Amino acid sequence: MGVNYQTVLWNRNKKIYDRWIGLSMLIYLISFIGLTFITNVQTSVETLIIRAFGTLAIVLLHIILVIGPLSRINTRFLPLLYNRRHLGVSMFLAALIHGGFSLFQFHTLGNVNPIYALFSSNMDYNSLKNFPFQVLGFFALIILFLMAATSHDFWLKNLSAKSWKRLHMMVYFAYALIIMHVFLGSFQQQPSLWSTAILSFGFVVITALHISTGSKERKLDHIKTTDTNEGWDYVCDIDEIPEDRAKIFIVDNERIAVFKYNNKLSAISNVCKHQGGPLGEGKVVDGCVTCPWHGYQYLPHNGQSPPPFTEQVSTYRLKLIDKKVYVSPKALPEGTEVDPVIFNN
Amino acid sequence: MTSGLRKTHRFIWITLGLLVSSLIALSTIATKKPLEIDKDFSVVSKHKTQRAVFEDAYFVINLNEKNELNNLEIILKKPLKSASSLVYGYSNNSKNLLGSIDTKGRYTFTIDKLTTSIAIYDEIKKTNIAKIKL
Amino acid sequence: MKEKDDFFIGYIDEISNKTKVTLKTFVSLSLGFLILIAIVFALTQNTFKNSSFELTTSTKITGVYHEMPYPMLKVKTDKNEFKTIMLLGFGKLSANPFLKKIKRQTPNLSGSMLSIEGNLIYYNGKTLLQITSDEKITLLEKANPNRVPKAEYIAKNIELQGEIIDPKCYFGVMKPGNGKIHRSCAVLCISGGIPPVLATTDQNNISEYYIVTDLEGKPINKAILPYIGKPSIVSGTIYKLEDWYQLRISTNHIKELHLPSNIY
Repeated sequence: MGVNYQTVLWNRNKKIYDRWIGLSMLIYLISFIGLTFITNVQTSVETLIIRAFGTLAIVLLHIILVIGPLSRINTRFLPLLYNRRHLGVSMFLAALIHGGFSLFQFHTLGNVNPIYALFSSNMDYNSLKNFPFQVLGFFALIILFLMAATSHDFWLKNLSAKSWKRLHMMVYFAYALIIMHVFLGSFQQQPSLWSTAILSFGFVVITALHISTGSKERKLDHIKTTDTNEGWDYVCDIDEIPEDRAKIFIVDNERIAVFKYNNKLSAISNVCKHQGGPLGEGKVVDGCVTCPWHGYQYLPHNGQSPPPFTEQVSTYRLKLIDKKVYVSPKALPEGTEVDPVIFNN
Repeated sequence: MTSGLRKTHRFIWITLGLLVSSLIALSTIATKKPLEIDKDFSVVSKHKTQRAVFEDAYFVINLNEKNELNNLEIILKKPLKSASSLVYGYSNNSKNLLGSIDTKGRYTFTIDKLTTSIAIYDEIKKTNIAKIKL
Repeated sequence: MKEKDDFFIGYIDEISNKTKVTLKTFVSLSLGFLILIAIVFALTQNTFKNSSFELTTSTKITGVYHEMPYPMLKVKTDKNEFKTIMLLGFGKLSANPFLKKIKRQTPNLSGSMLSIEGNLIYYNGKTLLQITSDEKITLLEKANPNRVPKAEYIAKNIELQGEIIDPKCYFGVMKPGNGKIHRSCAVLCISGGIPPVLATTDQNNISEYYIVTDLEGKPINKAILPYIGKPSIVSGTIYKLEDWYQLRISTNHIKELHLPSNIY
């Protein structure tokens, strides 16, 4: 929770995560480079670097993209999501080495500007077989660069959460560009059943994961109240809410979280102010609702982050009739204090 | 996530799923067999009167003994790492220039019966390429 | 006993055992995939050819300079043996910018004996030299028109199948120096003045290379740009220029070679 902007707020989990990233990249590079030297010794160093880092970046991108949906399917994957940003930046660095080397190798030292050469040396935009695939890679690299450059929370705060999110959702577009960069580039010159199959399989898995997770979420979005009482919507029975946890409900098309803690009930918006994490899937720890994604906290009775932090979310009024929990379907301004509903066991 | 964001995600993934799948299929169909211009020379079997003298990864050398002189056939299967390749025949004390070889393929030289070995020399880089006993 | 309600918080060191198992499984599977993919992508690379580029070694060559129409040096290797070496410049440029200085000093350079120091590029019987400094060119003997080789007419309306490549990359500087991946670089090289060459192969895998010029035997660098790096059928007139072939064409006579589909 950045109050003062440090580059990285290190902790043990992040260090372990980053060590695994470094180790995996090293293992990949050694395997690829070693195998090439053994089986194809006439390779040139530049080609080897371009291919090693390009293929590494693609593999990393696939791993990054499965983390999101996997975390929705099973919360035990959340530690992978926690530091996913570092994975993203690492993948960008690998892509940068690939793109930078390729740009230098193929487009510099000529009689025109390299960027101009990149776009104009092959003008067959109307053919698939001859399509200038390097242009696709170039745009993907630009997107990844913008994402890596704004990956720090400093930018999240200063670009407004909406713009930042829009920019970072461009990763899906970059992914599509990269897949086509390979299919219209390398695969046209070195077609191989195995590599085509593996990359296609990767695409199918990622798409299937996203679409199926999306369908599951959609069902949740269509929850409707089964009972209204003087304009209040019935949420659930109080026993359905686990201790220190929440029940997620829909008010006005948006999700809210009704927390039960310490013989009290409070309702806040389900959407964390940091990255939109599901607060309702979080837990009350030390009296604060804690977001399952990055651990941001909010006081349940007023939706405010404990000082010195300044984030705040909307709150909602609740009432308890017998054992039934009702919510007033009107969001109160962010940070509004609402007396929690107190009950006896 | 807000409901708007979920909607956007769904739209993006259905679009990408359809679009990229079709492009993958179309580009795979559009792929042609690559033009092979660097394969090894396919060696034709030797003539009956030829005697096989030497074979390694680069060369197949056959000797065809005739009345006064011999025909030396050098088949280069894959390109030599050489800027120029002069072929010399050695017999006892003398060294004889036989000719040169460049691209992979079949070469024939006439040598006398006294030639015992040949050498291939790169005159531009001033290095020895090969020395083969006949 | 009630199951412990485990909850992961990034900045707290504790992770529950069940989560640890999930993470360990994920990491192991990912590493497995990583290695599998490294194997697949490494082993499905085309075999690199043994072309050479002596970037760090300088070689001095001496021979007769001529331009028919691209700068070449005919080097004598032994009695009645010679090698015609194609001259190139630094990066994606032709030798011409590097020959400017000596051409100013000796306007008629064709047929003169030059000594040039540069970096050798060679593959499959063809040799080229990269010149990186105009200081490295020395005039040994003035021009003698008798020394200039003559182009010998071989045949006309010959149809050849192959790929138009740039000889600098193809014969040593890049691997691969042909095909779609390399196409942009080839276009840049030829646009920079490097002579276009048609690389062909027959059914026995014997390669032949043809220096491409226009119908009058003059350089054809600009018009040929859209046809570079693609399998082509080229028709033209063949001339023999010592140990190189020359193909004189008009770009109207370049057709796309339709290769069979890779999947059916």
